[in-house]
Amino acid sequence: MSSLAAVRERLAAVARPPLPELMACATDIAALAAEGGTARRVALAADLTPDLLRQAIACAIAQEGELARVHAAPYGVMRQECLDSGSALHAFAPEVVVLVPDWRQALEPLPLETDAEAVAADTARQVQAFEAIWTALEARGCRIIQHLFVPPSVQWRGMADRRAPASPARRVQALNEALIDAGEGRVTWLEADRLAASVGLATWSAPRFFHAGKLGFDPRFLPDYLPWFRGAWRAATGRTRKLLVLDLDDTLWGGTIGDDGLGGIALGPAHGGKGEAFAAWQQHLAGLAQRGVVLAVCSKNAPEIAATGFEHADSALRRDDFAAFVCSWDDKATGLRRIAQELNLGLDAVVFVDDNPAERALVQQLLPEVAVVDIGADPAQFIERLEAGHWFDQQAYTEVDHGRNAAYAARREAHAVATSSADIGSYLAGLAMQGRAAPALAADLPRLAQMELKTNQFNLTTRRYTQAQLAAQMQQPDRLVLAFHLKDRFGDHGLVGSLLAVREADALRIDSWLLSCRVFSRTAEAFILRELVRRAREQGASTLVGEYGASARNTVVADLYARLGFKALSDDGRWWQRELAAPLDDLVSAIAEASP
Amino acid sequence: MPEVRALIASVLQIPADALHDDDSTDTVDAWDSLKTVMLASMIEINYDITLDNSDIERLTSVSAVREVIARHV
Repeated sequence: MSSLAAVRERLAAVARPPLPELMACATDIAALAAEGGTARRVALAADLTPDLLRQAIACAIAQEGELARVHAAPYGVMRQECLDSGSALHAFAPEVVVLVPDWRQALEPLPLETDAEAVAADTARQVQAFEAIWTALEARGCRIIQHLFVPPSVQWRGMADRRAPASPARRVQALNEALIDAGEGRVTWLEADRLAASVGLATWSAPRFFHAGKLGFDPRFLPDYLPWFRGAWRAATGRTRKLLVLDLDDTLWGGTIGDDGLGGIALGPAHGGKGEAFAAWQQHLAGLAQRGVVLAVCSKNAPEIAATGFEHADSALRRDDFAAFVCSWDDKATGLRRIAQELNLGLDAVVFVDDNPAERALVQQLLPEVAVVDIGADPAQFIERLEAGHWFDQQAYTEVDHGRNAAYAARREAHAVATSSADIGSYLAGLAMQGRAAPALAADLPRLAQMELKTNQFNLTTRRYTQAQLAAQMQQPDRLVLAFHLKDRFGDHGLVGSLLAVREADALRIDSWLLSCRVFSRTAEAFILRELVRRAREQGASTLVGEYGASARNTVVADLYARLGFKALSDDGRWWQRELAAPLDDLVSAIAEASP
Repeated sequence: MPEVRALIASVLQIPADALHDDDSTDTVDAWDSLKTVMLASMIEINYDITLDNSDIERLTSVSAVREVIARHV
């Protein structure tokens, strides 16, 4: 009998596991999941034959470190299986449902001369049909991953079809756009259209396999599906990677800065194609940083020499772009641990890029949670090889993404202040923090939902509410959703905390409480609780009830309620209570009320 | 290039020596229609050929697989 670790090792042995290996691994995974124990429950509902995707999904989730039982609904009955509460799909009780529609099944024929308005009405009907499916799945607490439609591989009469609103190509394009809009906050999209385009639409679609076995694609591309699914899976389950740690020499520029000096390293057009490729790669990384990916350096170098590389005229990255900068002669696993600790991120949030295979092997072995990327030796392929992993795929940007690197850099500076301050009180006072805890607004919803997915440590109950669930709770009169914003003299952190409370008789119960790890140890908890107490008293409640549900990652808040003056209601540390009549002297916060 | 029987066995996930020249979908339980399609894909990849739709449907016995491959390479 195999183990999950053994299956992962087999899948990791080559960059692109061959088809029979995927099938064999899927068989082993199914056997392991059947033994019992914890396994994710995933249902697949598809317009075409689902079996190959079922196997690929099981393998992809194994690569993400979890066992999954994957149920595949019979092909062609996707809609019925989702809508009928008595279906086999619902009897399976999936946590995640993967929907794979195909245009050949979904699009009803329309006369080619149908005008744009009538086509738009048809698209709207299709979207409504999907919304009904999503609502049915959400009602059962299922998270939804859905493939975008792959466009038809043929276009009748070229440009003419492209211009006709009723042509299948145009209808698929319009439907995809409309679905993305309608599914905001509800659906995690897998960009099957881009996957198909990346291997070639015609080869992907392979009519001989469609006719032989109602397959939507040529099975030879199944291995290419895995990283796309993993990206969607991470996004849907809150495991999107956050931190990209890079080596310097031969990774961010060609050559060794310590030996070749600033003028000698290959970077920019003066160094030919190689120099241009390194410059383009740096621009790509700067683009990731602008989009909220946190960058860090882990290099075996003398720090003062290493940093000079970023003074190069053709360097798109500057020293300030890195939230952490570890240059030492320690091994890279030690360096990565230090960086993760400094930035208060888990190692499972880290992607590591290094040109040296020995360093990669060491990190892979010592820190299996870290995603280690083999970018090869040709800088012209670095971008493609990094992005092939879909490590940072996200469904939408929020305001916080745009400011994240600055916020982490601010955190690092604040950290430096902390180490130079004799006592914590004067350090916190020196931050000049201003906070605001107020009922969440509709505009806060995307960020609140993002935090639900991403916050693992300061997350008291890890309920992982979806955007739709949060929006619904904001409407309920017995519920209070607080959003917490914080700024300090180093920068504006934005929305970094949330709290959801439910009124039950004369008690106000804290159902969910999250705080971004960037603002730990800032007395934000006391600030938020004071505001909650004020509002609870205003409502006429007499006690606050707190709940702590232990997860693998949230031990940091196991004693939160004890620290905040709650008394334990149960021996297992789950339920806590604080009388609202009690004075608030113990809830001291260094955060001042922000002026509105 | 893998031996035909070994290739089929790898797709069916059975030991190569458990598969005989006279085996077919009638004698091997694991050889279902999905495996036939997978086999078609593996043949295409390994022999660098493109099978016709009718070829794919014929891949239901060891001897038929040999014939189809022989016709293309």
